[in-house]
Amino acid sequence: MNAVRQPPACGMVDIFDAWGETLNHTEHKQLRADLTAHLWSDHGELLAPYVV
Amino acid sequence: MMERNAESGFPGRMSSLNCTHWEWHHCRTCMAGAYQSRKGSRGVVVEAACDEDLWIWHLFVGAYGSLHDIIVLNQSLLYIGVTAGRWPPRDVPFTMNGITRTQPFYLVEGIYARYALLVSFHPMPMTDEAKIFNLLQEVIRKDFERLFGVLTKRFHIALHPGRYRSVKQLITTYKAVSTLHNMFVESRRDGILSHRRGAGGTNEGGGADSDDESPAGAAVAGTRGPDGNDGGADDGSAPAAVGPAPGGGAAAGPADTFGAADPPPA
Repeated sequence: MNAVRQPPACGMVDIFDAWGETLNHTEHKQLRADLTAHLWSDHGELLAPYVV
Repeated sequence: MMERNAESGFPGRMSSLNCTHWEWHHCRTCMAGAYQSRKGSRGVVVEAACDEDLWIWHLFVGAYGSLHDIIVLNQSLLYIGVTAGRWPPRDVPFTMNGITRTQPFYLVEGIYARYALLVSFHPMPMTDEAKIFNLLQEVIRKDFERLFGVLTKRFHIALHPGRYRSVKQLITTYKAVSTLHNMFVESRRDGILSHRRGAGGTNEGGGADSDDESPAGAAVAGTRGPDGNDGGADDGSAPAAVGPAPGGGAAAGPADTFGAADPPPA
């Protein structure tokens, strides 16, 4: 294991919650889908600096 | 930083995360099995996260050269801090597509695992939305490639294979290089800004410092003023002192980077 300088600042329940939230594949897909929709709504402005 | 990332179309993005290899010239033969990469060269893996200004927020050096990026991530203090609930901060909510979230994310390549912390591109873009997403994600993610282009240009010791006998010396050297690089970035922060749209500039640049690390030379006034942060890779000495094992890699993880010093204002 890596040497961690600071111990976890929360209890085991919070650690498990953070662990589960980090490894959540569904959240990953949902986040990417929302981000895709967000970019698509502004894609004209976002692509403008890269279009000659 | 979060506001500027939101302007670039990625609200909630913290930085770009990726790995690269630093060749180790004096790797011992008995350690070649662990440190030999798939390309045949022996070296250590460098995992870093940087923003548009090429400020290194996270650095993890010393993992075996034979390891995959996912395994290196799982060994880094960044991942440990996230899974322990210490990082990232949840006090900056952001809204995307009408949904408000509090967990920021990193932009990564497609080889990384499907974690909620990481946002990779669509592996098979079939729609125009997915293609646009992949295009913009790749544009933003190239900050990391710029970082190591600038880093090796400024410090040739990072360009050439490390000529040290121990991994600990490699780690110390790379930490020093990264710290100096962050000092460069901080000293020029008032004069550079890689974000072109925020400055109203174009790809032709034309700012005050057109010879900076911005690929197109876009250079205008920065958005973040100098602060008390003395470098993202400054105090990862405890893990670095452990030794050459991947767990002993130098790391300026979230606890190290953001705990002691004040982060730049968002």
